[in-house]
Formats: sequence, structure tokens, C-alpha cells
Amino acid sequence: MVEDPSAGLQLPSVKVEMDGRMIDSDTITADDFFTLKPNELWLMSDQYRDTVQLTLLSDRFDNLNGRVGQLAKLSKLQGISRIRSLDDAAPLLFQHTVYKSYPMSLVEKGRFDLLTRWLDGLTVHDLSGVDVSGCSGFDSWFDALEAQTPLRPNHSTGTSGKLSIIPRDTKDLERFELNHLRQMDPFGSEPDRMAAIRAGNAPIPIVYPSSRHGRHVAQRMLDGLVRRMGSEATTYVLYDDFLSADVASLAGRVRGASMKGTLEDMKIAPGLLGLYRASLERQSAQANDQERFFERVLADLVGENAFVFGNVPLLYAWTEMGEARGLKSLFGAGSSITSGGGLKGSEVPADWRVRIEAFLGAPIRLGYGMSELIAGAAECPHGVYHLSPFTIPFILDPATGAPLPRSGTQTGRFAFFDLLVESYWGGFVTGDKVTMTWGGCECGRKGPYFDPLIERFSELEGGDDKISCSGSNDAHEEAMAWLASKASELG
Amino acid sequence: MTTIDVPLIIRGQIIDSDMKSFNARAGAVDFRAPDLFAHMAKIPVQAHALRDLYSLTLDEIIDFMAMVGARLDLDTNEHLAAAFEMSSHTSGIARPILEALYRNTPKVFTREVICNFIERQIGRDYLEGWVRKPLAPGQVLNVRAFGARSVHVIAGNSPGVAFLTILRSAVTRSDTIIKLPSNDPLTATAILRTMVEIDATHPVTRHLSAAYWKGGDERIESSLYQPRNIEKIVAWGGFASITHITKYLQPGIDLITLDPKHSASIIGSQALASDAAIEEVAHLAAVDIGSFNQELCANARVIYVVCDDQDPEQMEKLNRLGERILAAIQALPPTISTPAKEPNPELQAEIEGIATQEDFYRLYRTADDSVGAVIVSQFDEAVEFSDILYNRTANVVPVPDIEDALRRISAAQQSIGVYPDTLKREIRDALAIQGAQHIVSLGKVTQMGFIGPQDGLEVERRMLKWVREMSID
Repeated sequence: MVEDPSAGLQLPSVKVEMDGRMIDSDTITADDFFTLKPNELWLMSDQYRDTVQLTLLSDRFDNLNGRVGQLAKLSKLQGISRIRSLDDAAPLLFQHTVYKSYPMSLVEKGRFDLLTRWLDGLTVHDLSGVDVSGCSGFDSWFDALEAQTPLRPNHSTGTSGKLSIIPRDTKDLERFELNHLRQMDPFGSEPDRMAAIRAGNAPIPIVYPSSRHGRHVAQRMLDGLVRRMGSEATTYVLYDDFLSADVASLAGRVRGASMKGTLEDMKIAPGLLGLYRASLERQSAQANDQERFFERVLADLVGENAFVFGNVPLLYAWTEMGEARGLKSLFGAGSSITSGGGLKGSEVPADWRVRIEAFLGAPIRLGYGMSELIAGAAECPHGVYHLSPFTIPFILDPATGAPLPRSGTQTGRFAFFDLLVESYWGGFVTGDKVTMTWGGCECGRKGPYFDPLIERFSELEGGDDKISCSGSNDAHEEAMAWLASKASELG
Repeated sequence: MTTIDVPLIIRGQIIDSDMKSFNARAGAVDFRAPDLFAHMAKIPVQAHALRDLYSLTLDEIIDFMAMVGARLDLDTNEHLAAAFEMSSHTSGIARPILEALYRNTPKVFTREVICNFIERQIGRDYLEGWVRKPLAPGQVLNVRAFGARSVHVIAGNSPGVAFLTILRSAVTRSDTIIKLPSNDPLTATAILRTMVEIDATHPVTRHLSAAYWKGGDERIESSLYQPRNIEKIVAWGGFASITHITKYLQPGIDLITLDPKHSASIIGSQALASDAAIEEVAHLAAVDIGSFNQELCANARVIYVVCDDQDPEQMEKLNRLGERILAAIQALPPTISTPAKEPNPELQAEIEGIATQEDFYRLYRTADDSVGAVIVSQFDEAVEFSDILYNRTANVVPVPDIEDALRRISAAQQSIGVYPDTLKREIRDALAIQGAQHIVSLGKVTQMGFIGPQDGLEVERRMLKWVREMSID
């Protein structure tokens, strides 16, 4: 498969038998790869995994380079026309900012035509004919895209004030949903964490202590879980509502205007302001929602085995509510509790894990992933996070961005290539500082794994108390107060 | 990893016990400093303790400061040399420029400069005695300015801040506790140690203290920031540091904030009138962007240029201006500006994000990211990350007219460089009303000096207590 011997990496083709078929590492497709079972995925040799990953990556690049505009520009800029080794792709990974590189003012000015043109540069799908004339915000723009194209985008929560938009399509979304189911399959002699929940073959109880619907990755995941192994009737959410991308981005937009001093010039559509007010009212009515949620869970699920997920701050907030009600060991010991997502700057005490587990009644399995990645990493019984072979890791030197060797233990910026998405370029550089080790783990999984300590570079910069006359005020509180006053003027 | 000891200096006493470790720059420089909490009892003074400062004439204070200044020679003063060495690791300003700062700034501690400073900033008579102001027949108002017990939370991005703070404290006869910044804990310390060596019992020495504690340390701040201990707090920079302090505000404590600022340029359409104009403006803008490696609040970051973003011909000229600004930044002599000392990964990631978004932005940069970059917006909006434009990175933004540019200025922008010169007089009132605090010709923003108001305030006058004594027949 490697035509140029001078390229440095020469891997012989490797053939393995899977499900009675011979799979050849030289000709494998992403669909073939995706059918591998946990024992095959986690036990494949480094050489086999590297070969398959390189084959798929190289093919993917050839396939997308002419079709994804932003990739074509980047590859031209970097002078790269072929990928002959995994590290060849390092200069072609998109910075995490790429998926939010649209000017925020396009939304303010209602220029959804330009926003569509921006997104067009990130997907293989042709968006030039999409009619966005009726769009008034992110939600209606996503509606238009989904009605007229195969796109099924997801968006970030906009903690930084601006939504990232990941242009997945229907096939990517299906892979995303299926991958979540498959990564629950047991490896080796480890217990099947889903066995007790699935026993009885009825739709399983799914518990998620936040909003039911939306295009954020958690809601996309919930949709898949409900459709593929649960049911609406056995789904327990704190808020049975839609997480609006417009509301999620509003805080960031107002904050930006506040920092620029243009707050009073900002026009927010009354409809959106109404949505925002509803979300504020919901927060103030949170006690009622929580009560209803608890009542339903207590009535139906005490001692039952359930599938529970949510990021740590979310599960911790729920635990505090449960503790206040004197509840513990809420679910059956055969429940599956999945969490991750970092602590997102929230104040969670050091004993969060013990307390969440005591409240929920089953052990948590932590994972590490992000909206932009389908197959992330999950915790093994030895406490490290194993990265799915569907994802090619890169550990980049924090200063130079150059890839560090794929051997031993390396600390740096995490970047990846997501092999499971095919309609957009899966190469992505995160803002996370990680430590990755290549070499086997005592749990038996081969391949690289993460140390559990994962930090954000943006939170690590500067000294203890660096003070400079140069800078800007954080206008977050001012922005929120302004928004609340505008919403209350709505009448 | 380098570890440096920063002593605690309380009123002429140098303390180096109860050391705790702190971080000066993540992963690169650590320092150890005494835990101030263990020495808290020595920190506050009663009001009457300030009387000894009034046993001195202003001339005696000036003479002492001049004596200190003469000893602040980088080649012979080991404390100042250590401060320079540490700053060269923690500051974003390049070593040769820092060295020039450490050599030149002590010159403000000379009799001539101090006398001028006193006269221009306060008025010597008010510091020397009661100034008589007859109001009406039989009514005389006498006014005198008195020093206060103060804490100065100072910035560490330039050593000039430590020099200025000590000068202000001495001439106003204040009792001053300097809260040291982690990015420059040694410059103020070096000046105070030099004072101690000259005369540890001199009233000026006895009313200056310097301590590092981590901003927000409640053990220290809740007992220090009490009206019985402190009358004034002068807080530089850092949103977080000011937020900590506001918790302790109550009647009796006067907070003087020198907020973190950014600065901008406003450039008229004349800049695009000819190739020669483009070259001239590019050079001037580059000086405002690049001086002191863009580490100061006065440095330009967003450059507004009057230009029709719908006119391809004008936009082509604007893009050329952006390209020429980058070239001019590269041409700045190393005594003014150098390539970045450290990459800023957050900024680099943002730049990569827009690098290929030609619909919205043109990016001018070289293969070496440390050189700097110029982003030319192709429509009338600055980039959303304009608050992290560092390492000689600027955003050129077309605006339809000067009035539009003015609307974008607020109190968050300290210095506004204006081109052409004739425009400056036309818009200075409007700029001031918008909130700008320092209006100057393009290319001159960092030539601010110590004379004049700072951030819209007469800081020295605010540091003083203005007392009236009346005679009424």
C-alpha cells in the first residue's frame, strides 16, 4: 500500500479473519472497520491498527481533499497532497476554532446565506441551493439545512460564548448513535454492564437529568439511545423541552456586544427574547421540575437497573438534590452510569465520585470525549482511559504543534482524526492538555490510553496572580443582567 | 524550572521566614515568598504613625529619593539586576527592551524630574503646607493635601509601574503597602531593599512595604482591607484582582481602579489615498502595535480605517495596508520590538481558525508565527477574539466613516492613535465623551510618560486627602 519507500513508513498488509470474512488492512473500508467487535478492536496489534488507520486516513484525505473547501485550502497552504504516514496528517488537523470561525455578526444581521456558505466550506455536501430566506436564528437555520440536505449538525453549548457547528450528516449521525451502543459491549472477561439493564428485552429505562431535545451532542445521543434501545415512555429527563441553539448562543452574543460597548445597539428578535425568558422562568421554576422528575423516578425506578448518563457537574447537581431529600442507592446495582465531559470550570468538591455513586447506587464509568468526536475514550478497571481505535490520536508539542512520537508516554495537546465521519474532515486539534501512553494496559487492551488528568491549556496559562494593565473586563455578569432586564420588559 | 526568593519588606524590615511557593509563570518560573499571614500584625499602622513624614520637608523627601535613584544602577545594584533577570523570564517584553527600561526608568528618581512631577501632577504648595484662599472679606479657606494609608495592587507587565508607585507614595507622604504581582515580584522589592540599605529608619523607608500574597487570599485580605487599617486602595489591571477587592469595600475605603485596558487606532480615508500614504500609515500603526512587544495597555490592537467595504478597489488598498503593516512590524528595530518570546496558543488557534476564511478575513503573516500577524476584516466588524490580540497581532477593520469608528470606542479603550493629525483635534471631544483616556497622533501611543492623568484619573490627587481649614471672622 505504501508506494513511496522513501516516505519512511512501510507496513506490510495484514489480513485477519473476522466474522468468517478475511479483512485486509490494505483494502479495508470504514464500514468494515466499524463492524469489528470489542475483542478484535482492543486486541489488534499496533502494526495492524496503524495500518488500518493509515489506510482509512489516506483514502479519506484523497476523497475529501477536493470536496471540502476548507481542507483543500489548508492542504494547499501546507503543500500536502498525499498522506503517507499518520504524522503526515498533523499539519492538516483543523484547529478547534475552525468550526466556529464564522463571524457572529452574520447571525445578528440575519445573513444566513453567508453562514450557509461558510458551512459549505466544511462539508462534502453542496449547500449552494439551500433556501435560508425564512431563517431567523440558529434553530430555524438548522431546520432549513435538515429539511433540504442530508446534514444533521450538532452544536456545542457555547461556554466560550460562540457555538461550534459540526456538520455531520445522516450517515455520520447513525455511526455516532451506533458507536454509543457498541462501546457498551463487554471486552474480554469484563462484566457486561448492560446485561442486567437489558434483561427482559423490554425498552430500557434511560435517565438524563437535563433537557430532552436539541442538537447538542447530549441530546443527539439521547435521541439515539431512546430510539435504539429505549422508548419515550421509559425516558426520564429533568426538562421535557428543546435546548435551543439560539438561547444557548444568546449569552455569548450579548457578552460580545457588552465588551464592545455596543449593547444598547443590539437588536434581539422578540421571539428569541421570549424563548430566553422562558428559559429564565424555567430556571426559577426549577424546583417544580426537579420535584416532578424525582417523583417519576421514585415511582418507577427505585432499585431498578437503569441507563444513566450526564456530565459530572450535571450528575453532581442531581446528587446534591437527592442528598437533600435523604435519598441514596436510588437505582439497582446493575445500572450503567456513564459520565465525563470534564468539570467545565464548575465547583465540584473532591469527593464528587463517591457521593454520586452512593446516591445513584452503581459505579460510574467515566469517559473522555467531545462534541467534535464520535469515538472517544472510556475508563477501564485500571483507571486509565482507552481511546477507541476508530480515532487516531496525535499528541502535539504545545509550543510548536509538531506531533510527538507515537511511543512511550507523551504529554501535550490532544488532537485526533475521527475515522467514523465521512462527510467532513475529521481532523481536529483540541485545547486539552493530556498524557498518553502507548503500550499495553493491565486490563488487556492494547493501544494508547490517556492518564485521567486532563486539563485545558487555557486554564493553565499565566502565573498565580499575573496582573497586567493590558486586558479587558469580563462582561459576563453585565451581559446577563442586561439580558434579564430586556426579557422582563417584554410584557 | 527556576526558583527565586522574594522577601517580605515591612517598613524597613526585611523578612525571609515562613516561605511558601508560588507560580510566576506556569511551568517555567516559581518563586518563594514569606506567608504574609504569619506577619500580619506588623502590617497595619495607626493614623498618627504618619506624623513622622511631616517632620520632613518635601525637599528632604526629594533628596532621599534622588539618593535612592542614584543607587538603582543595573550594573551595580544586585537587587535590580535580579529583578531584571526574573522579569526577563516572566515578562512578554523582550530582554533588550526590558534592559533599556531597567536602565532608563531609575532616571525618574532625580531631583529635576521629581520636582517637575510634583508640580505638574499635584502642585507643590499643597504638599508643603496650607494654601491660603481668601473667599470673602473675613473668610479664608486653607487647603492642604495629606497622604493616606494605602494598598497598591500593582501590575507587573512593565517595571515602570513599581517605580511610579513608589514615587507617588513618597511625594504624597503616604503609607503604602505594595501588593506585588506574580509576573514581577522583584522590581518594587529591589527599590525598597535599596532604600533599606541607604537608611532603614528614614520615614520614607518606614512607610513603604512590599508583599506578595495570592490575590483573593481571604485570611489576609479580610483583615487588611478594613477602614481602620486602610484608607485607599489603588488597584491596577486584572479583572479578578479588582473583583476580589470589591468584596471588602465599605464606607471609609476609597477604591481607585486602573482597569485593564486595550487600545485602538482611528485612521481617516487619507491613509488609502496614495502608496506613500499607505507606507507612512503602515509604519506609524506598526509602532503603536509593536512597541514593547504589544505588552502594554496603550498598544494598538484594533485599527479602524475609513474604507467602503463594498468597494473592491478600496478593499484592495486596505488589504495592502494590512500587508504593509506586517512588513513595518517586521522592520521595527529590536530596541523597540522583537518577535514574540512565547507563542500564545489560544491566539494561534483563533488565527488558524480564520486563516482560510477569505470571505471574511485576510490574514497576513509569515511562516514564522512569532513575527506577528495582521488580520484585515473584509466587513465592518472586528474579530471576536480582539481581546486576545498579543504578540504583535492587529486587526484592521473597515468602517464607513469616522462617526462609525467613534461609536466603537468605549472606556475599555485607553489610548487612541489618530491619523491624520488634523483629525485628532476634530474628534478629541467626541473620543473623550465615548470614554477614551489618551488621545495622540498615530505612532505615538506608547510615548506616554508619567506626566498627566492616567486612565481618566488624576491618580496622585486621588491618593491624597484634601483637607480644608477655615478662618471665619
